[in-house]
Amino acid sequence: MEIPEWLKKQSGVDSRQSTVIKRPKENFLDKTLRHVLSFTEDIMFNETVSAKRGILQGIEPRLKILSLIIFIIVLSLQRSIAGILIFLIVSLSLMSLSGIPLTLFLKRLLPVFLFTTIIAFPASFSFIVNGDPLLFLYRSDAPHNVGPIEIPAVISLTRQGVFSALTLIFRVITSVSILFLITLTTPPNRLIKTITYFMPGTLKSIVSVSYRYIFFLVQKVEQLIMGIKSRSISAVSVPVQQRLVASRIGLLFSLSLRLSNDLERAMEARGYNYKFEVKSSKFKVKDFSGADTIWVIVSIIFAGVMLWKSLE
Amino acid sequence: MHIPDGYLGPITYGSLWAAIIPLWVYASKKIKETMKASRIPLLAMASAFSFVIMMFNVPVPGGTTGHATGSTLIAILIGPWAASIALSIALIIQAIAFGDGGITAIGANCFNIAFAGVFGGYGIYRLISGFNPPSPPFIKGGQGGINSHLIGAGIGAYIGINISALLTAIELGIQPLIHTGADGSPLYSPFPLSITIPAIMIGNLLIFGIIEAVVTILVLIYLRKSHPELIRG
Amino acid sequence: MEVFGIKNISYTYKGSKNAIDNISFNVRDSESITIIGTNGSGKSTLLYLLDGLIEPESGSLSVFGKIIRNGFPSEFRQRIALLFQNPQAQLFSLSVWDELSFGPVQIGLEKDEVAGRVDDLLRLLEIEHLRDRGPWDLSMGEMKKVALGTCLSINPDILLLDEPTSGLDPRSQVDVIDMIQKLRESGKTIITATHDLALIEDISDRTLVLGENHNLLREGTPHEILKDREALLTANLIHKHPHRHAWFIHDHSHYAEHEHEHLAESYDINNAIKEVTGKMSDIDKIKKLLEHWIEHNRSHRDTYKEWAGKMETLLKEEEANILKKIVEETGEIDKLFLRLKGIL
Repeated sequence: MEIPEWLKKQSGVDSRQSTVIKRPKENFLDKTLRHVLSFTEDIMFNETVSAKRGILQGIEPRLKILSLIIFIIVLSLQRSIAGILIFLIVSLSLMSLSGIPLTLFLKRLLPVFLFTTIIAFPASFSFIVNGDPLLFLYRSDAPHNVGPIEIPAVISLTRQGVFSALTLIFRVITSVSILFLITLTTPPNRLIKTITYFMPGTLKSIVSVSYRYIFFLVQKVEQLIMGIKSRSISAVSVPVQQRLVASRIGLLFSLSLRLSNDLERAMEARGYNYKFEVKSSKFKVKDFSGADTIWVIVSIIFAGVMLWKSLE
Repeated sequence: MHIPDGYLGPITYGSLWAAIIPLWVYASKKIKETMKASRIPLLAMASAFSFVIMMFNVPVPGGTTGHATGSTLIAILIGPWAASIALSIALIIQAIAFGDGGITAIGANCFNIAFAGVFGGYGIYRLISGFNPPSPPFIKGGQGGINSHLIGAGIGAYIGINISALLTAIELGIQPLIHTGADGSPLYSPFPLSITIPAIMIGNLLIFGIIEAVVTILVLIYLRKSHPELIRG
Repeated sequence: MEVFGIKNISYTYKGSKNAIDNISFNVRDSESITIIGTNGSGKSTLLYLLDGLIEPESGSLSVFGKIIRNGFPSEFRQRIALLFQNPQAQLFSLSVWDELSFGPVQIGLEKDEVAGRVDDLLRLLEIEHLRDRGPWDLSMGEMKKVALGTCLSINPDILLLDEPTSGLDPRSQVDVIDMIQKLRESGKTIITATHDLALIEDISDRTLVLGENHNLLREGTPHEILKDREALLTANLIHKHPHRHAWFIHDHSHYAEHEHEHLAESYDINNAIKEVTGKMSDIDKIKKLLEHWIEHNRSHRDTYKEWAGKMETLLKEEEANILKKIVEETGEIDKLFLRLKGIL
């Protein structure tokens, strides 16, 4: 076994000139790695924040999640901006009572806010939502065409348009903020356990096993993509890039398959007898603390009042 | 393409919940009939897999990138009913545990992606490849040879994702028609069908549909080579 | 010339796991370095940082004298190659031949030259018979060889090797170590992460010890490090309860996965052992090995049990189950060992 001559030489690549002045545009590999990173960071973040002490952290998770989901549903029934704002205020107050710094919360909310605003903004104009004009932006005698686009005679901000844009923005960010109340005050593992509580037998176990494997697979994704990145010297053509990604997805599927086979065998070895069920404890009134009871009563009153108001 | 909370009104999301629940029940029955109980871990893995597949960025010519949902691919690999349940679970976990996609809209998202998309894509695949499935999982035999499988899978994947997108666009687009305030102002998504359909469909027809098709075909090619026991031409 | 300059580098994402805490060291051209530490001490993360796959959160990294700020220049990927701990990660082609030609094609070699290189590598790694096989079809050891081949195919100046011998059969381990030695002689810079203490004297001039707190515990020649019981204990690289094998063949360790107390003892004893074992016949060796296997099989069973318990507390039921299965299987293996011993 002798090392070939070419391998004994120096690579001959001159690195004296090579520095990266500007960060290059991120390619498909970097984007995937960024997804993986932000996934992991999100979970880490939720884990850290949910470990804090506060009102919502102290409530029995099943009661908490159920009531907050009911809040989201009642919120979806609100027909006035005032009704929606009440939910936003409640949500923000619960946030601060649960020891979650407002700035941190707003930072999490910012991308959703920006995205929704960009989407909702055009709705303020007469060409989307027609109605009583608030402010005229453009007026001519008749609609005319510029190329294939028809320009209407009047473009204005309309009252109805502005109302509907604001309604959408507030409703979306309030819903998301309530959802954040769930994820930021419940440790991720506990959260999944709680969700599965409300599911029928077999589904329980599928969901909890699936959740655990997500983490395993995400770590694999990181490795598999780094494997390509470390071997990427020059840019390859798009079809080759597609083949590379597809091979990773295919490999991930075969890994998943192998894992599920292992799990089947493990279940057999443990004598599961194919009845693969996770037992969850029953809802028992005596398990609930005084705080839980107060929370339930207050939530029912609040949701009830808001429901009644929205139906008026 | 997951619809968040706030875009759909109660009548819309409520009826989609009403549509999805019997489908889930029926799917579970179907799975119990066709799948051995011992294959339940496969369902869990498939769901984790469909969650993670969306993390892969796939390039398309012209410098843009996107991701695939894998719905037709998974349907081909483990059967449409199992795929529907697996994808639904992934969507539910995504919505509740990761805040991606709304809670009230879970019914809508599962209906569009995990049912309509899966069955649309899988149906087209079956139609083109002309093969009679043995008990899923996995492709066996086939009359038209492997190429008709691949072509069918590609077209199926393309159409499947566009069906999901079209349904999403329609659901959003009918909001100003059915949910308005006293003065006629929309209470949920304010855009009419004439805007939601082109806005959502252009990207899907031109980019995401192609990504879906390319990924489905290339992954099947890879799996046919690496797991010949799963896919035979 | 300095090829890597690492100053106060930290990397904390994923919390405590796989992190790197304030590490500084330099690597000169043609130097061979080993990084030792337990699983999770951050060895792999450190190699990822050196390969530009991740970026440090604080501190500075310079490569070939250039401070890295906005990611790796693509030429660096031609000069630095990384062998992943799990070779599966870096194999993505449809055949071994395609795999080995991927790099040479990318650096713009002519067809003939590409084919020449691939043939050389197939011969060098003794994997000619795998030429047309798919990477998924290979055993762990074969995959590792192919992955190493892909690293060598671009003739890099620096090789980063993550646990190059783990998962290999004893003979292949010896082969890989020989190859690392030859590559060293030809002037390559080689950085190897390993938890196999038996390896470090054979393949490196200098050893860095990473602690379980992801910091740099010690730096020194392999000889100094092996003598420093305290550092090795702190890094959890050796057990407190000693077990020894008087016959132990120390040339290239066959037991990559656990450490031996006598490694921290003097060299001369090891050399003496080598002398004796050198004269042993293969039958004698296998008898000795069997004794060793039996002894360890039993002590490992307890470790498996212990970890199955730990996994259970971490809610990792599958892992726990597999470990429990392994515990069950060790009984079976024990019987097989005893049967073999009886025959011998």
